[in-house]
Amino acid sequence: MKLNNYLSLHKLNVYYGTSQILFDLSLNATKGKTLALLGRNGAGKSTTLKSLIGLVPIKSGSYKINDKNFEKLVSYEISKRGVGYVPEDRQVFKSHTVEENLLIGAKINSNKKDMFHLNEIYKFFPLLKDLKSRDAGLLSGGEQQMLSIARTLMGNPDILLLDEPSEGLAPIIVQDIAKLIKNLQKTEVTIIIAEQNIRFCFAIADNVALIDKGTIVYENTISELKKDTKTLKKYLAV
Amino acid sequence: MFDFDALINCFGMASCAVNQLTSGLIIGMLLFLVASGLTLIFGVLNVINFAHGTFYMVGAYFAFSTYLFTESYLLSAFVGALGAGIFGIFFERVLISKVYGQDILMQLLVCYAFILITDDLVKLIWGTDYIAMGIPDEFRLAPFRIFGGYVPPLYAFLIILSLVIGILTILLISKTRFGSIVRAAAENSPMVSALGIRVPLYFALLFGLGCALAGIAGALAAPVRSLTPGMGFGILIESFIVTVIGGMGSIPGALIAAIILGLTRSIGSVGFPLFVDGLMFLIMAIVLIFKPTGLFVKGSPK
Repeated sequence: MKLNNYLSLHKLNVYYGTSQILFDLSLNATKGKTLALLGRNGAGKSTTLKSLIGLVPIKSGSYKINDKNFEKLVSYEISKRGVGYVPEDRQVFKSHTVEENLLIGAKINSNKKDMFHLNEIYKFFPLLKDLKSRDAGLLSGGEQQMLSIARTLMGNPDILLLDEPSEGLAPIIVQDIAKLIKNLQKTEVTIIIAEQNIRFCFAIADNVALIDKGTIVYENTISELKKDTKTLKKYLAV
Repeated sequence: MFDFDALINCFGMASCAVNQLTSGLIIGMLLFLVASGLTLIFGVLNVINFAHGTFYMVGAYFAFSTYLFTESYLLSAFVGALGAGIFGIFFERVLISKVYGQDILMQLLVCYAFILITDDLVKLIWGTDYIAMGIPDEFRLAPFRIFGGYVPPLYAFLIILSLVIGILTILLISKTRFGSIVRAAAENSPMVSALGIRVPLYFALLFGLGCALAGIAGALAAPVRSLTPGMGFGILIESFIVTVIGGMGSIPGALIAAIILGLTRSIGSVGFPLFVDGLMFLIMAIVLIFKPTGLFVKGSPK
């Protein structure tokens, strides 16, 4: 199976201080598709996404999107070039209102994508419209997750990085998030989603990469992985 | 040490009372401008700008020179603020941004070195003598008569302008996109950066704004104070007292605390001239004992 190299990481090495987290990690994502990055706790999923948005420095290796080099860029430059990041613990600005949170994220990316403004976001997330004057710190976990995703969408990303969007949420809310991601897929955004929740990924992703001990050990389509019980058992203990 | 008869006499006479209150308000409002810059920088950047008084001094000297050339007090005040703001951005980018998040002793050392260098530069450029700017031409007008006392128009102007600048600053921080981003960055700067915003630029602008507030205070004060290298030190100490009483990071707190200190100074100069500084520190100590976060900040101190 051949993957289109829209976004590619090649032999990435990343450290926190002196301890190495990612080891020669290589990864490809196809334009317009959803890639699930699956792995156990501490395997390096979050660090991979943080490297993609420039929140941790890349010590060596290459990071390309559309054949342009990204490895030397800092996070605001990467964001401006069309990469949106939704962090693991949502990180909404607690003493700002919902609408203020959204407006901080508002921008037109450098590829001139200009699809989401407040109106479109409120159509996508009717719940947030009702809550727009409330302080974000007062929202429930699910509402904060919606807000965090909506805030990043306000920046009109071509590539959306989602770090464990289902974490700590009630199953019914996880279903809402899955529905939302399916709707987003219609907008042709490329999604990379780091998850531990395999069922959730099986429901929404096209492709999958398994990460173990800081490196990618398996890349394939979701439908192939579903048949591959050996790999599932070995890396995901299913 | 205490002369309560003089105090009672003064407040028995409308003219004396009005004079003391206006002079207290002037001291307070100028102090408020300086302290609001200090508290703003601390609230967002979590940096204590020990060099803050330097920007007050720089603003005063810039204003003095501008006044010599243009004879316009308003233009001088503008140049003082702008000059101090640009100088502040330079200081932030080149020096203090290098020690963000580091030990407070590093910040103190960097600031102290900067104070010494700037004081010497002022001596080289403007000399070591005391300089008086004098009352500007625009304000050589007959004083207002209020309740039997006389208030010079310059004083009324200073009080009102300081208040307006304070309100504009509060609006800038609470209502504009700039303010919203800066407050968000104070809470979580990596997240703001990941949303595509160049955070260091906003930090530099905010630092410049804080320094411009000190600069305009120095510029506005130039006609009523004498200029001397090292003049920033006294106002720095008083600004610290103001931010401790009002609460670190609170601009309304700085306003109330600065007025309390201003009135303490002016009334104290009649009733207990030797104990004015002592009383200021005493008020600060009492606030620290009963409300360590300051009067206008909730929760535990940072």
